[in-house]
Amino acid sequence: MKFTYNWLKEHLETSASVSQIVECLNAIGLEVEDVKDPQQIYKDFTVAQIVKVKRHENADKLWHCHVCIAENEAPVEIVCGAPNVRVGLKVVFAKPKTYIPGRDMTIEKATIRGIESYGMLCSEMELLISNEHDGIIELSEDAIIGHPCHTYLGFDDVLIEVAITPNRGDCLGVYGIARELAAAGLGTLRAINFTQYKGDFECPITVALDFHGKDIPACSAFAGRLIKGVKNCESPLWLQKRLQNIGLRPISALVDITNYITYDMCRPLHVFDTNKLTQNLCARYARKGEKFEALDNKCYEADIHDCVIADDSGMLALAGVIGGVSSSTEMDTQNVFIESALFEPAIIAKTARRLGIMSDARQRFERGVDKNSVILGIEMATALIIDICGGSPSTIVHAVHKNLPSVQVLEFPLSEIERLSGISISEPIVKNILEQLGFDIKDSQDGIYIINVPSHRYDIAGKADIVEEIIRIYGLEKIPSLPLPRLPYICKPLLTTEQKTIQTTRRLVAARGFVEMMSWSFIKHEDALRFGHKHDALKLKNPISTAMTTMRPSLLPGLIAASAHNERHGHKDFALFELGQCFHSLDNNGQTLRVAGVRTGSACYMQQSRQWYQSERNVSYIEAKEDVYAILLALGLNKNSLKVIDSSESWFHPGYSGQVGLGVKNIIAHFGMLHPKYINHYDIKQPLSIFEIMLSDLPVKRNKNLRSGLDEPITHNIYRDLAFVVDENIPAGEVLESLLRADKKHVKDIKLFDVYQGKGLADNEKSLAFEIILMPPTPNPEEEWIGNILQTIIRTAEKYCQARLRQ
Amino acid sequence: MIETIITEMQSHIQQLGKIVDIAEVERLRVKVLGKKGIITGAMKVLSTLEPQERKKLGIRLNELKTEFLQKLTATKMLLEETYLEQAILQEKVDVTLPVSSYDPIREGKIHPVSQGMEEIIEIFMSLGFSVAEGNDVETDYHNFTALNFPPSHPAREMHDTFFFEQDSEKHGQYLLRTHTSPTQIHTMLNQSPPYRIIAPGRTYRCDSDQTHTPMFHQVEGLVIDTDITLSHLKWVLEIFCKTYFEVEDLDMRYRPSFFPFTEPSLEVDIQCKKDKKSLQIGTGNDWLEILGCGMVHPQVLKNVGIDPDNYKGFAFGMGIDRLVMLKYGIPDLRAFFEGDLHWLRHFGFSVLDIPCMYRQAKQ
Repeated sequence: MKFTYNWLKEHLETSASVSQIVECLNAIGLEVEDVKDPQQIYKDFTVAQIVKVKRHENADKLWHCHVCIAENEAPVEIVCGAPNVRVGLKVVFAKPKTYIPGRDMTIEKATIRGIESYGMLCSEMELLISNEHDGIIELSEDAIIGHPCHTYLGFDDVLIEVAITPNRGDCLGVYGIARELAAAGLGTLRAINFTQYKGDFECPITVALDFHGKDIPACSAFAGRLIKGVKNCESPLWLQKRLQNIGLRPISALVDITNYITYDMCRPLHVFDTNKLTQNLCARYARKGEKFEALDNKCYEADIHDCVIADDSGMLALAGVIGGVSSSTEMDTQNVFIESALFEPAIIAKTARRLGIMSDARQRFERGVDKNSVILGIEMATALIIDICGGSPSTIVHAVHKNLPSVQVLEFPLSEIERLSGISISEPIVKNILEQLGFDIKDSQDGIYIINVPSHRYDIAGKADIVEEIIRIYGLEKIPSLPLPRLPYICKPLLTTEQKTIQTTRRLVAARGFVEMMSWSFIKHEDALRFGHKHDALKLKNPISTAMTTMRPSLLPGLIAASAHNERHGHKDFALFELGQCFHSLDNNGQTLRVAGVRTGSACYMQQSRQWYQSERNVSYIEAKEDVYAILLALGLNKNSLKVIDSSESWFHPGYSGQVGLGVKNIIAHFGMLHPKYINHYDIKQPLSIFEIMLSDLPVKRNKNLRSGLDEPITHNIYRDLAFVVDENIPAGEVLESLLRADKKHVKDIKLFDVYQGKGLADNEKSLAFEIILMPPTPNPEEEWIGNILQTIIRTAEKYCQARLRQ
Repeated sequence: MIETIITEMQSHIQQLGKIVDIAEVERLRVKVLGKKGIITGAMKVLSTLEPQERKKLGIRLNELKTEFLQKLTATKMLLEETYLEQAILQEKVDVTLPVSSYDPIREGKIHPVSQGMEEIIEIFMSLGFSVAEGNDVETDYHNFTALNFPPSHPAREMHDTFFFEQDSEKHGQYLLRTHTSPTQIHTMLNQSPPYRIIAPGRTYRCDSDQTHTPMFHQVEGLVIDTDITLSHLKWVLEIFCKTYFEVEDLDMRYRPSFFPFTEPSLEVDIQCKKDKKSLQIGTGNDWLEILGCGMVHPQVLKNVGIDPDNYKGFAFGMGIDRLVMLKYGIPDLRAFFEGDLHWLRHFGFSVLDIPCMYRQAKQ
């Protein structure tokens, strides 16, 4: 909502400065978005006069001008290309070092084709007044040389723009803003004086509401008046300026008057040329397929839920949104019908939104226009039309629905103010604020007010709304801040289990050299399909782009896309991870927390790139498996509860991948190399070692405070190495598991430290070397005791894995 | 006989001082103290002597043996030391050879939004809040209706909110939550008052330009009890902003505003200094809007079955991404979700930079 300082002062008697007004508007909830003071904006642009013009010697299209920039001073020389330069013309002059807003540059003294040019003569475009750049601005002859130019440009008023929240339609008029400022103590609201015309004759046009008994009709009041014998013309200067100052283009007196009242009183009106109408007007729902050409010169098709103004021949206007070309006033209009109505906000909003029409009328009607302003609007327009265009007014005709909203009455206990805001405000202050805002206190008993809500307020429905009115005017800054009391009992756990998992896992994974990234929750549908997407329900109805259509089933697509991006940008040997939600169905349980990572090139855990003391190694499936184990064990899972499964999802290389489960069915992680076909598809150069862990599926770790008693430390472990030869198809993990089962009591651990194939073994054989760690019951056991246990292990290997001891 | 042995011992003791080869020391030890050595031989001779003579010479011989042993040990130690020193002189490396420039702890980075989220949680936990969570996929009821959005509210349009085709069983269309506020509803429906929670998470709106991304992060706050007022809201937000931005005397401004689910509603600005290149929080004469808040609307309380005449409280919501940009001077929101390593390494946080309220004081 834009208005000017002087316009505001027509409704508000005040001595407050612009800055005081701005501060107050912010404080009471009308957020000031912009203040344009032409005196400031145009302070460096002055009036000058061209005293001599000749063609530039070296350029056909340029003029060499002598310009008088101050009385009693020698003229300066300026090179200018405008076609309208001529001797005697008063122009807008900018001296060197002036910032030109329309060009976003500061001009300097410059030599243009051999002639030194001292400054610039400006066009409207250069001053951001309009896009006009065909010539320089021509000021009136009475402009005084050397004076600031803004008053001659018509900018003599400070423009203020406020953002109006959706609940405050009443402040989309200058009068409404003045009322707010008066309530906040910044001046006195001037009473509205308007003439009531009895009418010189009966209005020959009828108005009707045609809604067939709907409880809430799209239009609840429709009134109008004919004015005969008008002479449409250009608006007087004051009216043109007023509209121009807020960025509206003057059209003709009849249109300008309705625009003026829209902005002044927040009362949209419409004027019809009655020579283009039949006699009977009505407000009704549109008929199927009804079309019309609107004032924006576009053709719209109405919907049966749209409210229209129609005559016998069909629709004339989309009610409360936009008028039509067929019935619009023109310069030769002689008889005009002023329409003033009340429309249902929800219906106006729906229509305008569907058709994408933004208009001043829509903006006001969709928020709610003062229900008492229907007649006021007609009378104000009548006075202005008769004054500017002449003519003779008829009586007013009107149609009112039986369910026209009535006055709303609220009970308001004064104690509610302190109950919600924490501050007690004395009754006279409360009373004054409410009355200034237009609330009518009908009665007050035992601290309870009976309040009539003013007709312009549609946002007041309960006690809390009244409290807001009082404290926003009283001053939010006066509310003291008060420490939140400590709850008198033990706090609930502060972090949820999931939060704890998130925080721990994030730093854990990052500590393994991964850089955390965040990618979109929605991805390309094909990518979702490639990575396990199964439910089309997870496809958005209205995605913002084809790259963001479907909720991600996995974190890997985002990581892979980022890997490709980073490779393209010259990075190699990097590790990225993401921790976030994945989506499997729409219901409550359809969302799971996952962590996934990708390593490329030589980005192994403890080593990256070539080192003089270590040979370089590229990432393989084992890095991914190592990451999975490191994370799961650090999160408190028991190594022995984890089962590695030799199968994998389709996006993994089938030979270089596996899964980790809690048992065979309950898979909690995938690891391995990305499938080569995806390496090609995503245009990645190096193989990717990837993992993904389903954090939501991990068992909840129970934290026990009490630790078990401390065992005697064992300081006499015995270490022996054994190597077995087995068939190459027997998984090493199986051999290891068998060995661990051989003597659980005395074997503390077994570690596989070497895998060998080649010389000395058959082609289909491999050798697995293990370190056996034994726990003897007493120190220094007999060699025989050790031998017996090793024999048990060897026999187990022979029996379960067809292994033989390698000598 | 014994006299010869004594002379021989004396000569060996003298000899010890001259030995330079450690093997020679050992040979001499065997010669003197070995099983077939001089001392053993002397013992045999002694046993043939008269007791008086035996005692006298025995003592003498023992003195010599002790002297020999002492000198032997000393010589051995001296020689060993010399040997070690010489051997060490052969052991030499080039200490200027570089160590690996890579260390996983330094290489790993935490995303600024994660860091910000943890910082925010940390501060609110110190004020007695606990953390609640909600799903990204929500229903029309929880995202709008329960929060007092009228049926025709523009936020419910396709150009504002992401929808799914399918309807939920009881709660209207499925959609991506447009704010973290549905967590308020879930919390109030599933637990009984009082409430004191924050709920961080991802939120979505059909918006994409220089300063908006279709996905962003918010944190919601909700405090409901019988005695909570706007005064408490002010205090909580003041403590939060001052702690988060690490500015003790941060000026804040409250402006009345409008949200369907709060009444009265407020917007909060913080003091800042803007110029073309930078934005500084806690100084200057400009204001920067950072959050919206208010007293929970009585209708919202009624919707979850709480009596608004008995219970009351406040709610607030703020954009985490923006808070992070402001605190750490990160210019471009869109880069947050691009996964660009150059950006992540520059703006990301160290693994060891664990949010803690008692950070190093500002200089």
